[in-house]
Amino acid sequence: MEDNKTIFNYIGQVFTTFGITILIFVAMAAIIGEEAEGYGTLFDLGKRGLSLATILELFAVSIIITIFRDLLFTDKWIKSMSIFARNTVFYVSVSLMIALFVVIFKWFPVEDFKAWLGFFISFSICSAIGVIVSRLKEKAEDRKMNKALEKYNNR
Amino acid sequence: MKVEIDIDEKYQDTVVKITSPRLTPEVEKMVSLLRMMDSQIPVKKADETYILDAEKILYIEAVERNTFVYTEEEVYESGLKLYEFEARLSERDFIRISKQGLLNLKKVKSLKADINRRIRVTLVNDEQIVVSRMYSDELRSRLGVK
Repeated sequence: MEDNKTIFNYIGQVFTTFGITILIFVAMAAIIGEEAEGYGTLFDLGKRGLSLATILELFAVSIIITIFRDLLFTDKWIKSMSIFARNTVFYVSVSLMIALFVVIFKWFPVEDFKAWLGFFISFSICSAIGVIVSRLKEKAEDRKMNKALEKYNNR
Repeated sequence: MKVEIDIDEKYQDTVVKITSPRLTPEVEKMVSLLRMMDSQIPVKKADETYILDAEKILYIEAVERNTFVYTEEEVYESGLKLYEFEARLSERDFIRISKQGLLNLKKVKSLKADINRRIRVTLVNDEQIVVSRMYSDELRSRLGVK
């Protein structure tokens, strides 16, 4: 029983994701921008910030992430897949999408094995932390809710 | 016992008021009979009308302009709107779970938290429905976990 979403809900989600993504990349530019300047197109302005092209590419990433999230976290999938499975599919899809962006927009040299390894390792660690934290939170809340339900039904 | 009936167009709703110097078994019986009457829901299936006890309902769903009433074995249609069901049944064990649905808490087998504060509900017949984010906090506070 899903509440109907309006276009404004989707726009809000896209801009939330976009805002977080921009903050992360601006922080990365400030930290590693100087070393990464000229290495790929992602930080071609060095520590001065992100170029318009990069901002637009990150906006496209945010739109695709919103679409993935909306597809995977609808009622239909909630009923048929566990959170763990949906999170896994979500992170794999997002990492493949980002890999595609790396190739298309030359975010870093495609032939640089170390860069790919670094990308997948850091992305996997972040994803794994996200999955573990949500799993622990979910288990604790399930226990609390089912205990309360039992109490409610035995009144 | 004196029975007074006052029919007038100025009234917007039907109200039954009992006045008595004390709570007697007779008054209690009247109240339980009225409550029982209020929990009987007229529903339809294949052009036949049934009177359904609210306790048998798993959940109620509004789809476009129709309202469907789900029990463990059957699905019925009702002429009542969802807000009318909510007004009649919210003091019992029913709770709003989305813009389209009402759930009978007594028919819930288990609850599972999901992403975006939604809750996956497994009913006694193992059917699953989802409580939307907008109404999940209401369910949590009804259960006393918020």
